[in-house]
Amino acid sequence: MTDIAATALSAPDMPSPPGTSAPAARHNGALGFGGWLSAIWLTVITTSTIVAPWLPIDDPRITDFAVPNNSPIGKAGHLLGTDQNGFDIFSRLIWGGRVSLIVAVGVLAIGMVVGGSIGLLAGFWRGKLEILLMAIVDIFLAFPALILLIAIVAFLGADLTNVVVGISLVSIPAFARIARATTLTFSQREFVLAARAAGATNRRIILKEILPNVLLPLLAFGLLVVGIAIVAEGSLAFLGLTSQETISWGGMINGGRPALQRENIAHTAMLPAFVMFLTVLAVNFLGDRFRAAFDVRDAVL
Amino acid sequence: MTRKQIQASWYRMVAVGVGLVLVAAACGSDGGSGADAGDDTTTTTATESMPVKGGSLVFGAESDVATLDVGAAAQPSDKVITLGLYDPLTTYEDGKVVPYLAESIESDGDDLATWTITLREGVVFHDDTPLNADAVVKHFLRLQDPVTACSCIDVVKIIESMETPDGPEGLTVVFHLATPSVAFPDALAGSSGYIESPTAVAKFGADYKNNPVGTGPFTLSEYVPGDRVVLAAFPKYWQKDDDGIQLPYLDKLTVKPIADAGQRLTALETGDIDIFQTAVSSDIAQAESRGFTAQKISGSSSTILLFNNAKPPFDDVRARQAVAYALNKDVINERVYDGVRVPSYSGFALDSAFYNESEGTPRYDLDKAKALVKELGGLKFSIVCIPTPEADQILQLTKQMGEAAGMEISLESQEQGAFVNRMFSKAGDYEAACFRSSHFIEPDAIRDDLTTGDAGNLVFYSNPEVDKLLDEARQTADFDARKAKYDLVQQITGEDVPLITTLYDLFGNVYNADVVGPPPPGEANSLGAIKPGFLYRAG
Amino acid sequence: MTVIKTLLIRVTRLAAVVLAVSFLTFSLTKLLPGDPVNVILGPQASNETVRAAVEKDLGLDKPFITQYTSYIGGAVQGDLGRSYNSKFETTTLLRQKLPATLELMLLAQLISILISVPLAMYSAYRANTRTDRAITTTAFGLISFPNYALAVALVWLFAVQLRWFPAIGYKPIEAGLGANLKSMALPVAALVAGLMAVYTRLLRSDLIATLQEDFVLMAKSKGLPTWHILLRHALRPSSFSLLTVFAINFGALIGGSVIVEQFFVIPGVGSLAIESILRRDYLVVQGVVLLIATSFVLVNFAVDLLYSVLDPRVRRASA
Repeated sequence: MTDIAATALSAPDMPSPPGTSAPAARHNGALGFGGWLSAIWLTVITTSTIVAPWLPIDDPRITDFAVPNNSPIGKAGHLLGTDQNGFDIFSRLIWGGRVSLIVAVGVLAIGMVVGGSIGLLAGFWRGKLEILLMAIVDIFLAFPALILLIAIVAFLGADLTNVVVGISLVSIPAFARIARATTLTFSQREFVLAARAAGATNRRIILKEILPNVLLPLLAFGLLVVGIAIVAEGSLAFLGLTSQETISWGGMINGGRPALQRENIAHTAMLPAFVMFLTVLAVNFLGDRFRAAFDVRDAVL
Repeated sequence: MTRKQIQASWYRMVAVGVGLVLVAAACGSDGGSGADAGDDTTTTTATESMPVKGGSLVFGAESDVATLDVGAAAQPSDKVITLGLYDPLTTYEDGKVVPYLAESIESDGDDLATWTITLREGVVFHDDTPLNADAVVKHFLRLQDPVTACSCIDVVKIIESMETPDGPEGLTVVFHLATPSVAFPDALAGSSGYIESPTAVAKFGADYKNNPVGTGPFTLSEYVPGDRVVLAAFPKYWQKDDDGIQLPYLDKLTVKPIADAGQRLTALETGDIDIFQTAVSSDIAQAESRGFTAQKISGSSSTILLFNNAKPPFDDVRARQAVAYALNKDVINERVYDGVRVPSYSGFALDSAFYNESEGTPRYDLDKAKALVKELGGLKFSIVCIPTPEADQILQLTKQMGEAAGMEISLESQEQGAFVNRMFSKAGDYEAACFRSSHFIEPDAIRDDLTTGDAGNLVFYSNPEVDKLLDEARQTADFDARKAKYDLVQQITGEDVPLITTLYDLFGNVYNADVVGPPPPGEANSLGAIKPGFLYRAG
Repeated sequence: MTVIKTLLIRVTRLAAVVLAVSFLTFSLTKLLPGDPVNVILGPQASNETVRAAVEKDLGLDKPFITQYTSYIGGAVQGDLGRSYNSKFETTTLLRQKLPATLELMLLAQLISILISVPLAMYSAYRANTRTDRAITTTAFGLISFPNYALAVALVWLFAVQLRWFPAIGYKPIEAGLGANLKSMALPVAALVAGLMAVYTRLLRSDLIATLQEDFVLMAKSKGLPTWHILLRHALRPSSFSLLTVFAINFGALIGGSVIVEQFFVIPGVGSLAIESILRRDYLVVQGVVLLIATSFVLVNFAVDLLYSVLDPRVRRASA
């Protein structure tokens, strides 16, 4: 994870007044021009990765022996050239998006369910449970996230499942903190007190009154984590800690590095870097709009 | 390949930085292949420059030194340091074992189980302890002690007992071996033959690793892990060159680990280092195109593919043969190494006297591969490797070639710790694996790799006939009789395919000829590891 | 009295967190697959005698709890054990690797602050103008740039194309300040981009909020120029979030710059951590984690203290 990620994960409920949102948006309705661009980009990426097996693109794991490795953009039927293995870069960019998508969805789901539950329970019941759960969360937050992640993946093996589990694990504490803080604010609200006065069970209050209110801010925070998760998966691939079977943007950047440094061949590393940047940017942008709309930080306060 | 080599190779792989680095040349371990003396060596400058005394040089190493203790230095870059600090008892000259720190080494006539070593007179360690029989005996006892955890333990355990007929202060040691071996002098040419000061070992204990004291041309002047090892000339060194100049030539030699090969080239250009070694073909070409000199060394190590012969699917010889037939080594050479390497079809170095390319060793033949896969009713397996760019390229090609023959191959990358764990767990927790090994002059080196039940037999190969031949060959002094046995071993293993040797490595000593004199030939079998005592500044 | 008591409670809690982190690390190294002895011994790992001897030598034959308590006992006295592989003291290794990481971190932090404060002030001063939008959009873009992707781009541009800076490698200060700074330029830049963007956005939005407050409006009505108000009145009360994140990054960057260290081959704490993990050199891993956790916890503690010093309201509230 990057330093920014570390910041985001370690201080998610930090006070921050409105106005942090992406600027261009204000002039163009809810999403704004940038928002629309982001949404379109993400839709294109998502759709193409899902339908990748049926797209008329080269097999991303077959070397084209007709052209040399690292052949340039547009050469011999390869729209974006070939990489150090003679694989088609365009095709690998699409297939690489698949891994990002899996990681994003996986981490978001696990983080929200596990982290959300912990935070919700801690925030609702308070007392000893809260102290215990939050102590655990504090310990995890003091643990260097990337090092923990590397250890998990290094020890358990580098397949995609472990990568998703590992990233989820290090993001759970942040989800828990957000959920707890949001729950705390809502448990004091009139409608919750009213429901309680009306004799609603705790279960009912949690499910019907609090959960719906916690969910959206949590999802908004989740989008921030999605960006971080994509970067984190790339970091692992970049360190050579994901499977060679996994086609990933981070892995592509890593694979293209020797050619960049030695032979001045830039496109093999730069193209995946650029695609990854655009994707993270789009996710962050949408998340930002989303958070502004739901005023997550204020709610947390 | 030998068990020593395997170690060396695993250590090399272990020692290589994380994913950033190509696994560079194989280990320069003990035993020998005279690669550097062979015709593969090309030097592009005039070699007739005269060595001069004095000055200092900086050597760019591939990775940080693994250990400064004896018996574990496996990598060529480590060898630059350890050959500076220590001298081996024997060494190779023109493909033959000759005494080095020892004055002589002789067997008791035909009794290959008794060997007598006479040491050179007047040699002292860096701490002024005299080299004598006592030091040699203590050295081998220390290597045999399990706590030392020497990778050489299987090499030295052949020594059953030692005698010092002239007393501990004398210069003679008589070795009694558990089994007769014609290869014993060879075992002393590598790091197991480096003698350390018994005084220093007693003084530093566990910390000896970082306070090494040998008889070598240099003393350790500074060691900052991950950054540099500085060696200073040892004024009382026992050796002079042919012109009577006191060795070492250099006053100071600094070894700097620079993991990234491309960065080593940059450092050479900026003058931060004066010489480095690399296994990356494109770097050698790049260096030459930028006006540097490259001394190329090939033929004594190779990339290999290990099969777990004890487990399905590779307990079936047809499965192993199928992979061997499917693998087109020329294509790998072309796509990964710009075609500069040589495909390998033997367990021995190209220029070994025992080299024999057996007819039975499978060569690329897609139809045969397909037929075998069909006969087996399909072949599905995984290959586990430490992820490096080079390994990735080879693997991706291997996978495609196998799949062209109808196999199903999955690639597993496993970082160093886990890889080592799987390879060296008892049953061998793998189906196929990437490795690298060296090929030595002394053919006995392959014994441990192929002998049933040996710790070095990572492929769990078991063939009683091979076991018997290897044992007999070790006890056969006559060259032709010995060679006949090794030829037979190569023929059998060629057909059995316990493992596949892929391509002979090619690597180079790249240096700035304005600053560095042509590097001296390395310890014969250490893949061009440079003898630092003979390095000198040009001009 | 109460202040001291509060302080004591907090310090105890901090120690507890660090202790828990160390226990967790210790347990993880035992629970997860991978054995340091295998890495040390290689093919010899299956040799039971050798194995037993080495395990005894490293103290790995003792029960888990004994190992842990003796580790903590040593740690309290500043002895973090020796590396299984190199036999160097863990503290020695940390001391050797820390300077590069600290330099990287301090330079990145310093430059980020130096750039972001004026930038944020200008942006807030010109809020919602074209310039402001350009600044905030760029900052947003930089935040989304994974630092290894950025590193690739930086190397391509400044090392490969322009040849201004070395592509990788670290020169210690002893090698000359010029060489040192040159070798640090690209890694620092890779970190600065993200940090500075975060800082700029934080400070800008806080400044804008502060500018809406009564005392600022009052100052405005007195006819004071806006830049004067920004500098004299608004900056200090607006710097809380910035300060928090800035401080937290001191802890976070020790472990968080792993990627940058790996990419640029800087012999720092992050690289040490990865190498040790991969070699199963657990005592060194422990040492690194302990160092990072301790600094993280201490920094958080310091931030809290700083709050109460800077803002009397917080002091009252906690008392």
